[in-house]
Amino acid sequence: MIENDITKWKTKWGKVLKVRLEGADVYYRPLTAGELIKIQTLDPYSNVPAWVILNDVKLKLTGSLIKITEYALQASEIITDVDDLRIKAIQNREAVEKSIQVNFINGIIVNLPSIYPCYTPDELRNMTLPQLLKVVAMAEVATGRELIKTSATIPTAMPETRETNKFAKPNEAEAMETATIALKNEMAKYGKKAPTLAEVKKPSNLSDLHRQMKELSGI
Amino acid sequence: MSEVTKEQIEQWKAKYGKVMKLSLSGIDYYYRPITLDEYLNIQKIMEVNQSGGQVETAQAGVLFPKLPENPSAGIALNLSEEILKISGFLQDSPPVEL
Repeated sequence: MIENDITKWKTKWGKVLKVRLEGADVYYRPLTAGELIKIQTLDPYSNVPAWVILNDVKLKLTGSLIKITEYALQASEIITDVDDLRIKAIQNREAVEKSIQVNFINGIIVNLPSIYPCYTPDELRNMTLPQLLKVVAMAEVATGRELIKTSATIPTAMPETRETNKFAKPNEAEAMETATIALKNEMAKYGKKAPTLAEVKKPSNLSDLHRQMKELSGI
Repeated sequence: MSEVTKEQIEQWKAKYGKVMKLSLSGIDYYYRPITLDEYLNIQKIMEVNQSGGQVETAQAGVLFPKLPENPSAGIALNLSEEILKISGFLQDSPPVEL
């Protein structure tokens, strides 16, 4: 089936196009970077058709060879100007960033309610990105789980002190996780939402953290 | 002027794939598609001479009768258009991204 072939070709080459030449559907792809370099020294019209045509079609007419070569060159988005290259790089970077954002948002909306049931997917969908990130922060505090995994280091406002070092110890961390899950369940029982990190004043120990969270939640 | 025979036409077809006939001003012109090399050569001549390429195309593609060095503009234009058509330069439809 041609649809299966099209999917395979798109997976391999990114872009697949179709044009009707000599009474047949010709499926073709853009040139690769290596091929673009080669045609600086080789005759393009004698070589490009054989490289780019994906289905079993042999073009005979001169006009068809010229056309398929020029269509393939157009599809290859050749950049002739340094400024164009800069613009294209920025556009591609923006497209990737947008896609990361969209994937992140979808991931949060789908997964967060199952571990932090204070908000429904619809409520999350109606939030702005800053609001969503605040909810993620609350969920991380309440569940003791890192929801956004990253290797980046972010400077924290709170300098390292004896108290925060205490939380880093493995046995303390485990106790914190268990205790915060219990606290979260208690807050959910009262229909209360966990406060944000910014609202919690620098706790002296685990009990102090929980006390503050309860007070702020109105439990 | 000698007539073109059926045998001659068959020989041309075996060699060039397609042979067409066009009557212009009472003269039957037999012509064929141009090859890639011929087309690229015509492009070079067009660049050098700053010409439209109709005369060169007609001279490359016409099999019979032999065209003069400077054929009339109308003859050259009509013939070159028909030769380009059978050479695959006629636009079928634009390409579509899938």
